Amino acid sequence: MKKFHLTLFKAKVAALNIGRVLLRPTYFALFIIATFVVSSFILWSLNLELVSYIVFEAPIALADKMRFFSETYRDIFVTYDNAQALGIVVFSLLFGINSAVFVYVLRLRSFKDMKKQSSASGAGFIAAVISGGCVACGTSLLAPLAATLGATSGAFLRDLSLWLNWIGSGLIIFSLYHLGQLAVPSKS
Amino acid sequence: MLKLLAATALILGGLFALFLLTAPTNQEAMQNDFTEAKTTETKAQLEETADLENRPALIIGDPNANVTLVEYGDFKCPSCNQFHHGVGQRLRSEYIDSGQLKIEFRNFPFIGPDSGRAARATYCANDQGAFTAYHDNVYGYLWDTFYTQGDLNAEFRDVLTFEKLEELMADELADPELFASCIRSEENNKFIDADLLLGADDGITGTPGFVVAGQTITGPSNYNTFKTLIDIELGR
Repeated sequence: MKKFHLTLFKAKVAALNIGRVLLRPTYFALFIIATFVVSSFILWSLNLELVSYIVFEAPIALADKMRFFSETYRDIFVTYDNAQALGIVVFSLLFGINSAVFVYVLRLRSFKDMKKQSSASGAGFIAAVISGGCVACGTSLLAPLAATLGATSGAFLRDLSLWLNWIGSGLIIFSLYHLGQLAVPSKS
Repeated sequence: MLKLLAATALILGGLFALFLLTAPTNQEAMQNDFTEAKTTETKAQLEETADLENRPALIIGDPNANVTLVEYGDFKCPSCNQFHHGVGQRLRSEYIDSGQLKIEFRNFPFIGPDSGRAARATYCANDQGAFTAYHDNVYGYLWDTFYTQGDLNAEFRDVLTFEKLEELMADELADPELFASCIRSEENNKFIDADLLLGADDGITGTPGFVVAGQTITGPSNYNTFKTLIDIELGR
């Protein structure tokens, strides 16, 4: 019970520190950029050729090119089912926060002190990108992997993609729990 | 601090660009990762059994429409069904009903035994000029009875029985008995093999998959993705 209260206290401290870091405009901007980049990566990872075509070759105006990408975000809960869309949104936001706090702590401490947090973030990123790229019932990234393992059931793939997405988010939360405690706001 | 921010943004952007430039194409991914031997064997088998020459196109809309959207689907796939009830319906009202676009449906059955059964029946319905009705009725049945009721596991139960397919098409066919015998025969397997072979050539690795304006779209996408590509093809 004592241990639980201590963990809860540490989590509160981490949340408070993370909040303070994000209140700084530079880190808030970093959070937005990282969220945008990782969500783009997840949403478009299966259609990179199409992205390349729209960006470099498509005979359309720049405004239409921008609309092409921006509407993907607007329609995320229409294109995907709620569980998939929520998983992508939550993971992307957590990844964005983690990136901003990671950079903040990196400026305060050496990289060696943050080994555990880095591993959690990296593992979380890989898990969520694999699952993020696998949001349809047919898959390009997980199907070959699962076929190698002998899995033929689509249910396995569908559930695995959702689980990986939430495992990825869990790992990022773990990373944030530790990073947040190190992110003691400086006066600068 | 601004320098640090710019450097971080540059690194993240650079990583994304690197992935963009070095990631394998769908076709390469299929050849390299989909277990090479298995794919080669499957493709070789398909080339022997597929009847590409006589395969009738399964068309939704005006066959003479200027633009063709090829859709690879499995009737049991909820994402394909979601496409049909969302983006697909919008494409019908915006482009298909006015004769600008047609959808060519190609079977890509992989989920369960009734995926294959439902795929075979597409050609039986098409023989009687009722493919669009069949397509809509089967997707509608699964959507209304299972997927919108939260029963996504119906995807992996054998729900599209011969009797159910007959029931769904009872009011749509000139000769229901011919349909009943057709769906029980394996005569149309050669056309499904042709669909799969075309899918392999188009770099399709899962469903839903689409080809329009020479571009492959893998997985669910929003309306504007299709609209942009269709408008490019229409020359707007």
